Amino acid sequence: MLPYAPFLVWLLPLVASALMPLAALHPKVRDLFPVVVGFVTAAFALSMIPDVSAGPPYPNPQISWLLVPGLIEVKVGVLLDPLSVFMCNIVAGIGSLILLYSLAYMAGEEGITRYWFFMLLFIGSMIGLVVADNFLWLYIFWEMVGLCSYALIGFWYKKPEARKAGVKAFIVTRIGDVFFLAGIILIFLNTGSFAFSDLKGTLEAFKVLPYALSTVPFLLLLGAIGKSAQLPLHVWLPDAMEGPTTVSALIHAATMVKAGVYLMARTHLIYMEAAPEAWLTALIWVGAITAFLTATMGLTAVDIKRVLAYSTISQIGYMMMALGLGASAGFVFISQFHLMSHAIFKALLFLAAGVIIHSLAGLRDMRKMGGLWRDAPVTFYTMVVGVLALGGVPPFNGFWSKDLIFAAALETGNYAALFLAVVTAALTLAYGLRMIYLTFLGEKRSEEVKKMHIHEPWVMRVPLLILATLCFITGFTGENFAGFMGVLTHNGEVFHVEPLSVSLSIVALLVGGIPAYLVYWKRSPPPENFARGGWGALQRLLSEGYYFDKFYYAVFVDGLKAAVQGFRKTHPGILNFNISLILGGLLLLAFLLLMLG
Amino acid sequence: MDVASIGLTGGMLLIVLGLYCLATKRNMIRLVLAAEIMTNGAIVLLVTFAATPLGMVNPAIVAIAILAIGIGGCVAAIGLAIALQAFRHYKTLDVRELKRLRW
Repeated sequence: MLPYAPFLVWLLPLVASALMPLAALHPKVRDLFPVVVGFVTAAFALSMIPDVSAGPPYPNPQISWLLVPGLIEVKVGVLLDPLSVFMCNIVAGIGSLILLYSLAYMAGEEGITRYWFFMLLFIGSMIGLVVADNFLWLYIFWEMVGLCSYALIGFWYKKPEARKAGVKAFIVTRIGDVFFLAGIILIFLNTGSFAFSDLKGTLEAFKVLPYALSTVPFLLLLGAIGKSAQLPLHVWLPDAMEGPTTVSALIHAATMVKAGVYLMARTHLIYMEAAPEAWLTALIWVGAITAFLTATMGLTAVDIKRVLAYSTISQIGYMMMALGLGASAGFVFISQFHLMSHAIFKALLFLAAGVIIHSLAGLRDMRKMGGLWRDAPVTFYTMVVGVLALGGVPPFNGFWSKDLIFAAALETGNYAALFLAVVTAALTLAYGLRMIYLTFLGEKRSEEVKKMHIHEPWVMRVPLLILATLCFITGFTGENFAGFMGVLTHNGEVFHVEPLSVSLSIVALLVGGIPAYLVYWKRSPPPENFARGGWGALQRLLSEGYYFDKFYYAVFVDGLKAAVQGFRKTHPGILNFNISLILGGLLLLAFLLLMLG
Repeated sequence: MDVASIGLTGGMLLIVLGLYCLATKRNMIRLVLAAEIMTNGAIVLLVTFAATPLGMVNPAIVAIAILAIGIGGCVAAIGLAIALQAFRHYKTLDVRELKRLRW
């Protein structure tokens, strides 16, 4: 590895983000500096691969931190194992491509220095999150990426929807974070350490508090549900699409929402065979149900970015499900393999959508688009590659990784979850094709789109082409990737093509693809037919997202407001009255203390 | 009665006096004075606790007490300034008339 790579790989972007105000003194430096930092970070991340591919023991440099002699000693450091180095490369690699793309996408925006600052801060803290070797640092970085997400969703703070979406994302993920923090505190109380490596050896020590061994993974799961936007805390991610498309691509598709999957994979690796059965089952069902429900929501969304957001949630559901199928490193590999495929094709899809949105001055409604493929051929073809990979069409990477998940579900006998997963695969291809048709094919359906000029500069085309190539290549690297993750493959135990699961994939493709082709390409029946009668009711239910959002607003926003209004009546605003109540309260407290103490 | 008891009783009396005044009076200037009396009661208690059984006084706590007296003076000044501005604006010093300042 390059010298000091385990530390520099996350310190470099963090320090660079602090230097942004200095770099902003010159407009050219301001824009080029973060891109250069991004690529240097990616080089550092790449250089760490050879060090871990040899297998354990993995490098784990530590320093002493929070030292109270004789009482507390918290050792912190970075852990380089296949999982962390892999995530590190995803973040740094895709992050650098997106920074490059931002040069064109964000050119001339107001507050661009703020944008670069938060992007660099995000890349630094996300890499810090995945290389941290203890739960304390993981949590600190976890909150830092949450902050960056909030600030970047609300980047266009003059738009009220963007402000609201940022706050919503912040608050909803916070619900999960509270449980996550509770889990971390339980771990520390029981083992006296935050480090993953200590935890592995002291699982039996989880006896101080009863049930801690089986409660902790559930608390961590709730944290992951918030961060990875799984049901029932998924409502923030579709709204987060108010941010710039580059932000959606980097934070809300490729990296930050994967932090929950990473956390679950990490917990999985710590617990291994000791993983509670109920936790694994919860993972399977959270994943499978999320994957299915959000895929159906994606079918009716009309905002191109919301389709992609629903599809992100749905694909993360697959990863969660893969982790729950069994307690061994093989399942971590399967979920990480799908994570890699998804990070690549979803970043590609978002960046391709970004070209369109950028050219159409922020228009995201697919009903007004159409016929754009002649204007933006590179975007069109790369987006088709992305949709085929997302839908799981061979030979693109999505096919291989999804097939592994099906095979694993078959092997472990989780047929109900497998059924949901296959149906989801069919729906995925259907909404992918619908998106392609509505955006690029047919007639241009509105005047404003007709008079807009679409342009795709090379600085946008290059990342698209690189990602499209990767979509093609990475599908075939499963064997190597399994070896890298330390999973045995030579006996064909993990990586092999199962005829049954492949045929399931093919069936799903036909079931999803043929109706989409008939409805949109052949117009028999035409899509308008589905807006009436029973289909119309279903369509409304789906486009309202099963009323999750409405329900949360009614209960937690309006309900809380009403409760506060009721409570406010006890505040008459008469100072004498308030003081008398305070006196009474103090007396009561003193009385209680005397009686009980 | 030793010095400590005098200090404690006196401090408590001042605080209770201030609370009584806050709970019953309506005139803003009286309220500011009441808050000042309570502050002084608290300072008396602080100084009383600073005395050690040997008759020594912990100088650090005395320094804090002097600081608290200074801050109390500032608070009184600001409180009276607010009262003055409120009188100019509302032509009354009765706090019940100022209910519209409630959130």
